[in-house]
Amino acid sequence: MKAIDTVRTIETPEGVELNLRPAGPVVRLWALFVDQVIVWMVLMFAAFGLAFLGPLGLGLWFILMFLAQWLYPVFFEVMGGGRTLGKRWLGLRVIMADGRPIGWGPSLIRNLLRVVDGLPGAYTVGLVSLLLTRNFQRIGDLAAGTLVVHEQSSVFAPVLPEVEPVPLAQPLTLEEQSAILSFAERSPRLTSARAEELADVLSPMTGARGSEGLKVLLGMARYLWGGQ
Amino acid sequence: MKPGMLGFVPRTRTAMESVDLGLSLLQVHWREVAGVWGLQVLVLLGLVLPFFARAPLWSLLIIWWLKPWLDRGVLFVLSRVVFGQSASLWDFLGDWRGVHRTGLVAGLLWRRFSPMRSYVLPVAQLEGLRGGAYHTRARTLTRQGGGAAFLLTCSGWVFTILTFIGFLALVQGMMPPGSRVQVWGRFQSMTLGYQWFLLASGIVALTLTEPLFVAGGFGLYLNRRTHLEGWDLELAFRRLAARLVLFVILLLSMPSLRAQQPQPAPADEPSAKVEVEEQAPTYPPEGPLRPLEEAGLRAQRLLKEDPSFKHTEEVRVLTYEPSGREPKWLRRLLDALFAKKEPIQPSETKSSDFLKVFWDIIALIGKILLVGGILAFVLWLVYRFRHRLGLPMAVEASWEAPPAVAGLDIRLESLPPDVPAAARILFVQGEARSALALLYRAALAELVHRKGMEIPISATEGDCLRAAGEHLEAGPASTFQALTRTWQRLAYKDEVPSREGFETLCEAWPVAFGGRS
Repeated sequence: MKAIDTVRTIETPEGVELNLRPAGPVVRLWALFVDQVIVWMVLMFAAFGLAFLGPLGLGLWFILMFLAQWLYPVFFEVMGGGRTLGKRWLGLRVIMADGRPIGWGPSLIRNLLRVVDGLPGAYTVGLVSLLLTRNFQRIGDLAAGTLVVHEQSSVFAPVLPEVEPVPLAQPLTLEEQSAILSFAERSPRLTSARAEELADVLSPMTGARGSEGLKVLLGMARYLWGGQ
Repeated sequence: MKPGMLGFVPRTRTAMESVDLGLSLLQVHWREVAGVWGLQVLVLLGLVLPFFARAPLWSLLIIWWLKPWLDRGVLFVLSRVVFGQSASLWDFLGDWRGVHRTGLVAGLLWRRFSPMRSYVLPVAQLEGLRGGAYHTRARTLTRQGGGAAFLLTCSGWVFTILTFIGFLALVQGMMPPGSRVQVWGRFQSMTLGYQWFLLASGIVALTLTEPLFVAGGFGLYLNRRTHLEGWDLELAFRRLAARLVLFVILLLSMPSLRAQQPQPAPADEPSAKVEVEEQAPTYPPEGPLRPLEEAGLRAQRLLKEDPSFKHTEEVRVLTYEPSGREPKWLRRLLDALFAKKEPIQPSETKSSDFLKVFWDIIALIGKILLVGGILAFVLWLVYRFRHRLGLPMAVEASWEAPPAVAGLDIRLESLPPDVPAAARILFVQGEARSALALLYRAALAELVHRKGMEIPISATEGDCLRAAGEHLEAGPASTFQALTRTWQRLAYKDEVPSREGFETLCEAWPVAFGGRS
């Protein structure tokens, strides 16, 4: 049984590996909700203004509503780097399934096909489609070849505990180094018993157990990070 | 927890991403969930319908209220598959008591109103906590991810209602135009048939959306525990430790491997032979023969039986046959060197033989202890009186200069007497990298050992530069800076300095660092 993960790794033609994390129905519901709230607020304010124009205002308002409902997401997705305001709020982004940024055509397709996803009246088709596809794609996404993904969170320099640096005995792979650094960064938030238990796993490398092993391991992290 | 058995990849995810982890779990294991869910719904209907046959809408309301019980079935399945256990209907029935032991009543009464129901359900059901312990634990968990859990609960409501409406709309849409069936607008005067229809739609909507809500909550729970307990770190560490241990084992077994290596023999043949020997006794398990294995077996038989694959090896060994004319001592020597070992006859075991072997072993152990003891005593004597022998004593120092910084050897012994001259020679030979490396590490060595600059073993070039800036006057400091920059450009950008630039550095070097010449 393959372990289940939220990360899908794809390789670009340039040989770069991209880690995409498709976003499911729950978070997308709220992005849609925020977008709709914004659109209807704008429409409401516009209605106050246009009310003075009488029947002409009503006509203009209907045109505005049409544009807002159909082209607001397209415009913001293409001009905002794949993010409508609601998606920006919830940390989502629309991209092509191969990792490229989304263009006008695909965005238009995926948003016009909301008609299909909205069937039979309350997004049931869209929800079922999301649940049936491994990458959480609704019909519009499948047609346009797009994905909605969680954005990468920004990376900060780690804050490491102050201990004496300890040089490494063996060379480590990049992943192993980052695991040790991540341990050192998170160790203050682990209970001390758990931190020592984790450090004990690496006692073949640190050559010590308990709090001594923990200190050595933190020192190795310090060494990996470099600096004084 | 055994990370090797985990059915998911632990990472530190954001809350919303971990909800999606739960949904992915559900996507993969929906069959098991559907089985348990179907059983539970049937049980509920069987219990409720006899009392409310005249008012099916009431049974829908009751089933909706009893959702926390249905949730337990979903969570049971997901929690089992996550730790690599099977989760069939029989497992569910077999673990019936475990599933319902803690918190069921509370869950159906006051905790029914909790806005983070699915997030904290594992605390009661999986961890088996109750009372104060439950509340403490639930508070620890909801300190982070509580907001997401609340959004998840709201999503549950929204999805259920939307799906319910969608299902009604679907049925209405399927009706031919002009049909007298009206799905909407009949809520004032509901016939019995219409109530049954609503009950069915409600169960469909719940079936579609409730497992989603539970799975999302379980994803949040798993993620929070990963954050709190470092499951991802444990996994990475175990992998690393296994690799290190394997490395040590390989290292230890290397000599013995070499000793067992066969004499140079025809290529390919030994490996094929080994395979034949290893594979021959194994036959596929009972059941139909699989074509691939059959082909493999046939190939092995061919290798073993066909004469054209036969491999004979001629080994010549020098042996010694006594002729009886040689002197006695020579004979004894040759016997000891070349005499064929007589295979030990499995003679009848006599008690005297046993005793003899036993005494031999005791004698051997005694010899080892004696010789080892004498050796240890001599070594101890040497160590104890090492100062009289002129050996170095361990120096108690508050700060010990590291032997190397950033992979560069900075011990004074490793340097040539005239550093710039040696560097010039290297540069002329076209080894600009070695030349600059020598200049740089020699400068570092001088700073550390002569000028008393203290740098840790983990220092980077930037750290050294900063430390040197505090330690030197302006002139030498700028020389060191120029040297560092040139070295970095060469080391990391592969940018070879010009002849003039290098010459300037070489000339400035003795002035700045007081090289010994």
